[in-house]
Amino acid sequence: MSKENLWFQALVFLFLLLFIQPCLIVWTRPSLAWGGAASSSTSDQLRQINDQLRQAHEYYRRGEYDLAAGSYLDLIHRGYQDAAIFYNLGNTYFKKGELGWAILFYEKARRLLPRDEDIRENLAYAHSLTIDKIESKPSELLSLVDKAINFLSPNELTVAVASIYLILIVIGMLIIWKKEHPVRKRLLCLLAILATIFILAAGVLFYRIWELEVAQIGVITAKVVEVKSGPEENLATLFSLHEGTTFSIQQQRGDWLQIAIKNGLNGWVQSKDIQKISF
Amino acid sequence: MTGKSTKPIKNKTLIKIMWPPHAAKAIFLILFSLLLAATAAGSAQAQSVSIQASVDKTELSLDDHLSLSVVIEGSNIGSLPDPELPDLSGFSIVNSYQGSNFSWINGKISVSKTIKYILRPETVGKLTIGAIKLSHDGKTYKTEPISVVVSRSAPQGRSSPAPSSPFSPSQPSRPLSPPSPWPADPWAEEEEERPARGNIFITQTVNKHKVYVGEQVILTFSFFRRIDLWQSPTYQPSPLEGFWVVELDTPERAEIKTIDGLPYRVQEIKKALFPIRAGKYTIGPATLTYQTGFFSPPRRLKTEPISIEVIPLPEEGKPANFSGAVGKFTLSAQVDTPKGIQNEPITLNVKIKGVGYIEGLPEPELSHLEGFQKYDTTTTQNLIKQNELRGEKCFDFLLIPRLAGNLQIPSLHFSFFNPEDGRYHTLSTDPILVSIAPAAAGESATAAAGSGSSFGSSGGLRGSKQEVRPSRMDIRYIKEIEAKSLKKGLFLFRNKVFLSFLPAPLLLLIVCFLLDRRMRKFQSDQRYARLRRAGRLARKKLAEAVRHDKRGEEKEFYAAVSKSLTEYVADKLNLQAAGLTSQQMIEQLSALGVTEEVLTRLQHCLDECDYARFAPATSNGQARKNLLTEAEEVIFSLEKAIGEKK
Repeated sequence: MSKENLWFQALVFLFLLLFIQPCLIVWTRPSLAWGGAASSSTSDQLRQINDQLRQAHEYYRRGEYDLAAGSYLDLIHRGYQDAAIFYNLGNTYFKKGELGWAILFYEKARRLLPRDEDIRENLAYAHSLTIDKIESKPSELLSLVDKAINFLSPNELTVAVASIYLILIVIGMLIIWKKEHPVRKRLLCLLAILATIFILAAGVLFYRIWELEVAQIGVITAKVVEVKSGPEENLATLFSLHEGTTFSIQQQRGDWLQIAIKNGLNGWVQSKDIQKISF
Repeated sequence: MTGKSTKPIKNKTLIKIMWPPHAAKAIFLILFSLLLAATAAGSAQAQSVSIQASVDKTELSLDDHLSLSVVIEGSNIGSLPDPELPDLSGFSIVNSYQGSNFSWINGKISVSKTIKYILRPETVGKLTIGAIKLSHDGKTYKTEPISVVVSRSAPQGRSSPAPSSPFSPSQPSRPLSPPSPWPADPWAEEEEERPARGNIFITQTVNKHKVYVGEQVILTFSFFRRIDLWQSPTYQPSPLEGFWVVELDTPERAEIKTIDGLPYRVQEIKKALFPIRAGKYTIGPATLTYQTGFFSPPRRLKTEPISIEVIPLPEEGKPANFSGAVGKFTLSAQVDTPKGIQNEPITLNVKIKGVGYIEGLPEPELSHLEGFQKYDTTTTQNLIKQNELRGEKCFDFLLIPRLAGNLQIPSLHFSFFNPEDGRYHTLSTDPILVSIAPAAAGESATAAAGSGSSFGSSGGLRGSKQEVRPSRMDIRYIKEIEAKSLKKGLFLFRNKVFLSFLPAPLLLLIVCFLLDRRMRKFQSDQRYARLRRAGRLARKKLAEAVRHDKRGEEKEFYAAVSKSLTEYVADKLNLQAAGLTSQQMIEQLSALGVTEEVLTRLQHCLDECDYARFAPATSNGQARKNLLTEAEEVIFSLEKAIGEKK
């Protein structure tokens, strides 16, 4: 008995060493964990990026929005898909008068940093300027649920779920180990509570991942788009949409996309007139 | 406007005039009234106080009565004091009445107060009524003295009617303004008992009998009279179903018309009618009830019913945007400023002017408006209701230019049907160019955001969202981040290193769980534990035996080998090792199906051990080695045979 218990304890210890520590690192210094610019770039590259960023900010300040947009876009294309850059891009396009593009980038920024006040304000403002008014009345409860689901950023949610997962496993091990210990009952109780939280959080996380990876949301970037009844230019126009209106993409056929707007109407648009909100 | 047309006749402006009923004193009266007219006209223009005195006759007998009327006219009657009567020697005052009257002449209110004294002469001869004085605002107003001749006998022709021509009731020179609120004298009323048509009659006419739907028809009700009335007549208008009715302004003052050589005072009430539907309509009679005197019974007059045929508008040539306007109109459009600023509203003023049902004019459609955002339209109308309904309706479109540059307000169209030529007409305005200066930098984006809105587009499914918050000046500023806070990876859930960590803890938990279960089984199931341990323990014992052998302890060697075999079998069979005979072992093992050969070898090993232990003879090392090998082989064979089964 004593011998088997010993190596069981050794396993638990090993586990703590191997998994909790990286998770703590992820939690405290996320940039280190998933390749922050600081960790993966040399100081030379870092300086160069910094210069480019400053230049872009300067362009924006001076009102040279085209140059600012170009600078920011370049950074995005080089892999620095940061919420702040998306937000700045949104601002630049807004100033350029391209509401659709502005909304696209604000939406991207919001997906990365859902609680950011600046992003939310500017997105709401941009949305208020769109021309299309689509009737959809989300109920009080639904909007509350939506708020709760979108409270954490995807990464925060991922870390939270992973943390709960690890804690659950530790508790599980303790329960296995401390069979006859009086603390076991409390552990079981804790396990039940945490498991419930875990299921909820994991559900939300999977929904968010589904939203980001599977569900395709798009925004109209052309000034006016005629929505056709099928994937063909000379088919009947069902209705027209104006820049900044968001919709979900249902299917793609060549250059044509079938889209559905919030009130349930759907039709076909050309992919050149829209942009997908995807990463 | 309904009140306006009926009221005048009922109370306000109906002018009552006192007519001297006795014609015999015609010449006198003419002179006198001329005099009165002069003073009255002067007073009316001065808008001050005037006082006049008149008598109904200048010649009378002793047993007759003389009526002296004092009329005070002014803008505010309440402030007027009572007149001072002069010494009326030769007369005695029988009675006096007082009355006041409002009249509305040329839009001005004038009030008059009439005091009537009934006098009885006491002496015969020429009597003079002295000047009647009125003091007001420090001024004294006086009437002219009046002379009256009183005779002993009744004058001739007292009751005969006046010869018509000089005594015509409406002397044009005599103003209507100094009215008297009650009949000249109560005794004159019998004389009004002549055919009603003669003195008072009413008519009702329309200007057209065949009209289009929506075309303006003027209904005129006229009230003719030659005599004074005891009180305002009551007018009951015709019911007008099937028409939009707009009351037209009524002249405040009665006109004088000559009919069959006789002058009549005419009052008219006009209404503009707009037929709603096609068909034949009859306008029922209007009635007027009047009373000529206090003692005379009320009389009722009725007009003839009028039939009107309403014909539908022709379908031929009807413009697409025709919305029912009938009449004659002009259209104009203009902006308040030709130069605007982006995002600052400008006003497009569209004016439709003309004759017809102005109130019902629809808003002209403002379509294909590019670069502007349209807000609510304010509508004002200005109606002129003299003789016919005309006027203008203004539509003020509030437009916010969302783009800078030269923007065009497209032409507006308005269609109407003109009943005069029986055709449809479409009016168009010229497109208006407005140059819009760009807004301050901060606002341009907002502006452009709202651009591209087109109205009345064929889609029609999307209502344009028009509430934009113009008060909000700008978006929030950019985030001036540094490179070191930039993140390269997007999502943790896409990070393969991270993901690869995830299944490991779960696997670990599962392993722990399985190990634990196995351990529990070891502990709880003794038989199973012995079964699993047997081989290992037997080998341990054999190893011990080898150690004894090396030390030369022969007895201990054989005891250890025997024990290892016995305990092994006991473990396997879950029996107590102590007291287990070889006979029992062989039986139990053979029952488990162990082969005879293995059992024989086991027996042999055990026998050899017993022999060596209890018969103390020296044995050679080779024999011990052989025994050890055999025991090992037996255990191996048994392990194979029983282990597979368990």
